[in-house]
Amino acid sequence: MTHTNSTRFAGGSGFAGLRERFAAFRGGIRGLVMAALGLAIVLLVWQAIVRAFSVPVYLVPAPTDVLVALYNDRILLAQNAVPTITEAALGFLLGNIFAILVAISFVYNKIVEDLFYPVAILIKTIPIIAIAPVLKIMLGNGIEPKVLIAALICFFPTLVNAVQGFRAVNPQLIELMHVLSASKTQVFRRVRFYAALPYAFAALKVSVTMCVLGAIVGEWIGANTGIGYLILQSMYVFDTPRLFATIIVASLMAIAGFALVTWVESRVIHWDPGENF
Amino acid sequence: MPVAIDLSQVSVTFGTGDRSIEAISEVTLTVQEGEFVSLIGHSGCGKSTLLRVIADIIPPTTGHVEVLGVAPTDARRQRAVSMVFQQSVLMPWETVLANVRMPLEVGPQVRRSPDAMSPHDALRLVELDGFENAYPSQLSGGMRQRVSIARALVTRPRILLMDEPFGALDELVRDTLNVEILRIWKETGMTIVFVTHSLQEAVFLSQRVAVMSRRPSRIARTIHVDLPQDRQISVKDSSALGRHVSRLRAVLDEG
Ligand SMILES: Nc1ncnc2c1ncn2[C@@H]1O[C@H](COP(=O)(O)OP(=O)(O)OP(=O)(O)O)[C@@H](O)[C@H]1O
Ligand SMILES: [Mg+2]
Repeated sequence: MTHTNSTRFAGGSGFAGLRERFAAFRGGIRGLVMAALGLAIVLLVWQAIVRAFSVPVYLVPAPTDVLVALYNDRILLAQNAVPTITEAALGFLLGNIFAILVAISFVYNKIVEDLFYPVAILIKTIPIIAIAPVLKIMLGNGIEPKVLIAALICFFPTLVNAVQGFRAVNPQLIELMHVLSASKTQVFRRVRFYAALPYAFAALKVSVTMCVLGAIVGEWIGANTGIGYLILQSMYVFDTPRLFATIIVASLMAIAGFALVTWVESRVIHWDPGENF
Repeated sequence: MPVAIDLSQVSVTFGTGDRSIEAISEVTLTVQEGEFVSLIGHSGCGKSTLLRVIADIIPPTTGHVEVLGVAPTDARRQRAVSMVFQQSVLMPWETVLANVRMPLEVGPQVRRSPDAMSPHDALRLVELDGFENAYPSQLSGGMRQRVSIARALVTRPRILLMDEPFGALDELVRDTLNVEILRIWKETGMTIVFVTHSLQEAVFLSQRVAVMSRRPSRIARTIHVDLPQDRQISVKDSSALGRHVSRLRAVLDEG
C-alpha cells in the first residue's frame, strides 16, 4: 500500500519508486502464474481419474465435458445470467445503501442505535434461507423477493462495518475539530466519512459475492429464469456437465463483482488506512 | 500587558466516587499576552489536562478560567486558540494544502474572518512551500509536524497551545523546529504555552517555565529564564542554560 502511495506523488517517486513498482508487478505476475499452474494440476488429475475409472458423466463430468457444455450452452447460460446479475446488483445497491444510511443514523443518534442495533442483530441471526419462503409469499414470483434476499444478505456486514468505521477516528482529530468549533456534520463529512471508507470496502467485498448467493437462493424458491433456476433444471434432468457449467458462471459473477469492488477501492482509497500520524 | 490566560484555583477530577482521579488541583497561573511559557512536570501530572481546559476541550471541575478576558468557550468560538499535539494528527486522505486549509472551512461562518492567513502563507511560515500537493504519508515526521503547525497558524490565533509537539522527533529535527518556533513566535506576537519533557527545550524556548508537582498537582514553582532574547541554537549548549536546567531539575525532584 505504501509503495503505491509514494509513486503517486511526482516529487516522491524516483528511481527507487519505479523499481519497487516493477518488483511488485513481477511479484504479481509470478503469483498469477503459480495459481494458474495449481489449477491446471487439479484439473488434469480430475480429468485423469474420471477417464481412468470411467466415471459416468451424469455422476462426475470430466473438465473437458464441462468445457463442452460451457460452449454449447453459452446462449442459454448468458440468457439466464442476465436476470441473476440484475437481481444481485439491485440487491447489492439496495442493501448497502440502506445499511450505510442506518449506520449514519446510529452515529448521529445514540438512542436510535440503542433501540435498533439489537433488533438488527436479532434479524441477522435468522438464516436467510428460512426467510426466503416468507418473502416469496409476501412479494410473489417476480424479481422483488430475489432482490430483497440479496439486499438482506448485504445489509448486515456493511451495517456492522460502517458503524465501526464511522467510530474508528483518531480521537485527537475529533478534539482538534472541537477546538475548531466544527459542527457534527462537518466532522462527519471531513473525518468520519473517510475513516469509514476502508471498513465499508471490506464489507462491500464480502457482500458483493454474497449478493450472488442471495439472488440464487431467491430463484430456488420460485423462478422460471436465472442461474438458480438453471441449476435446479439441470439437476432434475441429470445434465451434470451443464450443472457444472452453470456453477462456473455463478462463480465468475462473484469473481467479477469482487474484482470490480477491489478496483473501485484502489481508486478511492489512495492513502494507507493503517497509518495514524 | 493584557492577560492572555488566567487560571485561578482550577481543579479537574475525572470520574466520580472512589474511582475518581484528581488530575490537577487548584492550579493558579497567569500568562501575559505575547509570553512564551513552558509547562514541565512528571508524566501524568496533568499538563495535557491543563492545556485541554484552556482549549475548552474539557471543563474545569472547579475554579475559574478566563482566556483573553472571556470564557474559554467564547475564546474558542472566536478562533483565538489553536492547538498542536504530539502527533501531527493530519488527515491522511487530504493533501498538505487541504489539511492546512481545513480550519478555514469548518466552524461557524464568522470564523472566516478577513484576518485569517492564506494557507500558502502559513506553509511558507513553516518553510514547506512547494509541498502543497504532497500527501502526509510522503513527508517525514518533522515535515508533518510543520504542517500541523501551519494548520494551527492559519487562523492567526492569539494563543497557541502546544502539547509536546516535538516529543516524537529526533534531536536534530527538534533543534531546527525549536529555532523555527521561536522565529514564528516573534513574527506573530502570539502567546505560546508549550508542554515538554525536555528541560533543555523548555529553557531554550521560554521566558518562563512553570513546574508542576506530582498528582494531585499544582504549579510548584515558576522560573524566569534570563537568557538573551535572540537565541541561537548554540545557546542550548551554554552554561547559562545548563544552570537553568539544574534549577528546574531540583524543583522537579522536590515535587
Ligand atoms: N479522559 C480521562 N479520563 C480519566 N482520567 C484521565 C483522563 N485524561 C487524563 N486522565 C488522568 O489524569 C492524569 C493527568 O493526565 P494528563 O494526560 O493531563 O497528564 P500529562 O501530564 O499530560 O502526562 P504526560 O506527560 O504523560 O503526557 C493522569 O493520571 C491520567 O490518567
Ligand atoms: Mg500529556
